Amino acid sequence: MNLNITITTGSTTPIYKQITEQVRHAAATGRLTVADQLPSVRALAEELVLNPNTVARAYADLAREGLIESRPGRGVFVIQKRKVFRREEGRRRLEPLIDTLIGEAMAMDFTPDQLLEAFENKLSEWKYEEWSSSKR
Amino acid sequence: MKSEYVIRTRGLTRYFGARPAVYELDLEVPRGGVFAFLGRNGSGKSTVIRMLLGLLQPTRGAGEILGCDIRAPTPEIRGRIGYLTEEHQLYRWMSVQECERFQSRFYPRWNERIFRGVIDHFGLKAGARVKNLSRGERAGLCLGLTLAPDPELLILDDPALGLDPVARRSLVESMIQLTRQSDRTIFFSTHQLDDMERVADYVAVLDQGVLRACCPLDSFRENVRQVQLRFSGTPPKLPKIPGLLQAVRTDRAIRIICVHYDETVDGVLQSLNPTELEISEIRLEDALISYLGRHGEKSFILPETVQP
Amino acid sequence: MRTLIQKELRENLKLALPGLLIFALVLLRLFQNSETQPLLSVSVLRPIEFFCFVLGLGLGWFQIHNERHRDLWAFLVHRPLTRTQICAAKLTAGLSLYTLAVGLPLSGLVIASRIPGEFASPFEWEMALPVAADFLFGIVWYFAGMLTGLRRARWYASRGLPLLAALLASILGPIQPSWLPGFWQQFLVLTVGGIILAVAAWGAFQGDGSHRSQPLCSRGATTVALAMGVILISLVFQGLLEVLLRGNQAESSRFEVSRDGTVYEIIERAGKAAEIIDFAGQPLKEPVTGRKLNLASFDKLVADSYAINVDFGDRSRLRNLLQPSSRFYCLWQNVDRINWYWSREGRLVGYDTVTKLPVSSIVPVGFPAIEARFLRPQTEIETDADDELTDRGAPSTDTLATRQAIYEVNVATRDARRLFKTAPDDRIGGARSIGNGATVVVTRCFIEMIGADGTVDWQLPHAVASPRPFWVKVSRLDSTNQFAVWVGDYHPINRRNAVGARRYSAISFVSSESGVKKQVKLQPSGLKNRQALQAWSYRLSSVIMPPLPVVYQLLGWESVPWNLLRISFAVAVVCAVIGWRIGKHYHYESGTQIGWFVFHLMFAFPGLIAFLCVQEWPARESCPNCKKLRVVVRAKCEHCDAEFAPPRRNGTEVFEPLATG
Repeated sequence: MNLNITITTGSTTPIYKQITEQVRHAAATGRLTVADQLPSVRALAEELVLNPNTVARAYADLAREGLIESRPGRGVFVIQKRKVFRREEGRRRLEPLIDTLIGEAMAMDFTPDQLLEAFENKLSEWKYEEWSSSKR
Repeated sequence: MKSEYVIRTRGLTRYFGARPAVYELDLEVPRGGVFAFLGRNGSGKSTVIRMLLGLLQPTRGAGEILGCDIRAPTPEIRGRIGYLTEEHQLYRWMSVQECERFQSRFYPRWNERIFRGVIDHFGLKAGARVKNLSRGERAGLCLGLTLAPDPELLILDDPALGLDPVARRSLVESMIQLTRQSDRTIFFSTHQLDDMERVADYVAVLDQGVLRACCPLDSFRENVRQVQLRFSGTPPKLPKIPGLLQAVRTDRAIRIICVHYDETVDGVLQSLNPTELEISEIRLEDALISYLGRHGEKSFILPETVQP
Repeated sequence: MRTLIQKELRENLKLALPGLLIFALVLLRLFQNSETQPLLSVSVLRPIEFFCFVLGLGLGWFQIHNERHRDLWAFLVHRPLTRTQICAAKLTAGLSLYTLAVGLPLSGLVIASRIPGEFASPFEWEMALPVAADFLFGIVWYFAGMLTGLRRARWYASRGLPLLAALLASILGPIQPSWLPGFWQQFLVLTVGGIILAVAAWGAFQGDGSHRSQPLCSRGATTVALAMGVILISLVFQGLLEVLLRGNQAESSRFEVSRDGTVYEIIERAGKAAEIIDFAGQPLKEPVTGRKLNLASFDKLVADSYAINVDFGDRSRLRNLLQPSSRFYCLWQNVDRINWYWSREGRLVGYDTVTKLPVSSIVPVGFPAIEARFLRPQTEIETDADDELTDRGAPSTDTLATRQAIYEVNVATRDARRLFKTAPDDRIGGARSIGNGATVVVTRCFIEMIGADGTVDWQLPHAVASPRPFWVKVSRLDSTNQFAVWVGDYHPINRRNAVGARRYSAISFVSSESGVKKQVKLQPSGLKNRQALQAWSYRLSSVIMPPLPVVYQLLGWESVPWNLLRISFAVAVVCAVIGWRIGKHYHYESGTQIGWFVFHLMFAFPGLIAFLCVQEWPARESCPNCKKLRVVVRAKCEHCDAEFAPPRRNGTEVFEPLATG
């Protein structure tokens, strides 16, 4: 398992969110696959020098999303992502992020075509096709 | 049955001369977890801590620590509380070993392993005299002496003051080690916001002797928001907004930091007809600085420079 | 607690050990240089007092100074021990070190002084008592030093007041009132002072230096200790004021009789020549030049006088306060290299000055044992501060008195021959040989002169029936067998040996043939300012001193004039009222008010100052409800019973319940 989480203090993002985002990113890029074991709350807390409650909250949020599951006596494992979010809710969460992306691109004088090209490159990098098809 | 609060105060007040250093403090610190106590220098944090430990008598008000009245702490209660001061003062003529021997005789629950662990972590030799230790080493020794009796409640008054980053990191790691036991509580005051962000569950903010925040750390973050308003022309005058911490006006925008951003505030701000209203999270440090600093409006509208 | 004691011992050893060494060396040196008994020698006792003071004060203050940093004090007290236990550990260690550093050398000194053949003078174990008193004296300073270090005082100057209290206890100690003979008064004062300071120091431990949080007994002790300090300042202030005001007006008057039988009054004023006037008020002039006689020339005209201290009490009184040895013995004669001492058992003992061993003793014989003791001789060979013998001793054939008889004592032949016996119901109070074989004897009924053969030359009945000691002086006039007999009134200060303080009220001129010829009453006439100044100084002291008759007793005034006590009580009432008003201003509890009222009535002005030093004045703010000023110490307003306003909220507060469990 080559999960490498780093957190930054003093950032605008709370630490627990940094953890969840990094775990999600790892799961999405394939560094974490289904049935991989994550470090226990305490182990990760001591490795990152954090309050275990922070790690516990991150793990709880990930569990609620359906990305991981805690099996008592065994550990924390990545599971199949369940389609927890409904479409509209997912779209609502997605739109501000698209706004940010488009806004930044405009500020940097990207044309829409350039933006689309960059976007598609990223999608292939993330192996998005494979990831989403493995979910269905 | 242990009570759920290790520290409770009610109307705790302390005057120095005619000035109240601590005013009507109602604080409750729950058992288990790490409680950070923030405030500017001179806001009364050390005064509160000393009153809780029975080293200073309150002017009025009451408090309880581990169920015992703070005006009359018993030796038994004192044995269950660990206290680390900011100056890390010890007897300068003692050696590390002598400090250990001295301190361990008073506590029946002295845990040699913990002491050794902390000492080794900080790299201290048994024969070194306190007067020859650096500040960080002294802090490590004090920490070892404080943690080894396995205290139920650990009170730290600005423990990272003057410590180098390595010592500070060792300190935070030791605190996290302590949280392994769920009924152990840490209550500490600090200016090191990075360390606090790592380690604190709850935070209380003292501003000129008055408690102005007491909540889980994440709630504090979530409650302080930055709102950026952009305008096509000169920004209008800002109406009164409850919870306003800071407002900065520039040529075309107003940046507001406020607490409890809800629909009312949203409505008020929308009524100013900005071209853009953007809500974002801010860094914890900025939130605290604006929380504790001078509140109000600052203007950064520069006059037009006239070209000759 | 044992750990704490060990730590204290270790920490303060660096003060105690050098102290021990230095003290031991100094004592050794003093011992070797001492000619007379060192335990009673002033030049040995003064350094001992100094060392006890320094070591006691140093140890007490140093033990607190070690933890002067606030956080180190917190380190010390934040452990599972009560403050009393911590205080006890410190005291145990500190007093043990003190006993080591001071007690050990002093014990050595006492033992060494006992060695026979070291010093040619009598030895009693009671002679170690002055040294023991000095040891105790250092302990009082130990507590004073501790209290000074501990007390967080608002007015920095008042931090030193406990030291002054200790100083007062040390000064009062050696002063002896007539109603408490012996050392016990000194020990009592030191013990009482020590206990007060110790309780105050313990209380300061309890409160971490603040006053309000201490138990009641230690608050009382602290206040009393500070009041004692203020009393000392008042005394010094009064003395300075007197010196200042009286400085160029100081005058004293005494009488002398010239060899031809004329009585003159000598008035001495500071900065001016002495005036010598006779009873008509005329200054004495030189017969040849007509100029006023100066004192030096006058002294040649003065008749030889011999003073007798008359004491009918059971014990011979301490004569000279400045000579500790006079409590035990006095050196009467030195003949053939043998020192003859009168010891307080009432006999003469001789010590060989070469071998330093006792040689022989002389006791009066032929009487019931209870009467078989010599009274204290009127003459002695005194040693001054440099331990040199200044001979003011007896003439070669001398007489000693017992209660009923006069003996002629010849130390060379070690023989005591009875010369004269009084009537069975009469007692002798004092006797002195005045040369030419004559002895003046003062009994209850008579003042009489005995010749060398034991017959009465003349007899003067006198009316002084006071049981208290008084003075009689006999001057030999030029005409044969004419004498002037001065009789002194009783004055408390006369108990001391100060020549200037002896006051005589009348002179009777007697002769062997014709008895009493005439009597002259002595009243100082030339003094203008004395009465006024004395009355003024008494009044000043009654204003600034508490109305405790004990204090007056200890200062040697045994009966206090009623009008002075009245002033004192008036001041006490004023102070009590002031204290009451201040208490009302800060809304003290009624119990506290009453307590302070009683205290002020007892301690008057010093008590008021101590009260101001000790109390921590709470701030006052206006009540949010009734707008009147109220003290911040109470949760409920004393006028309208409302609480204080909760902290101001400005809308930026973030309060959320904290999840528990």
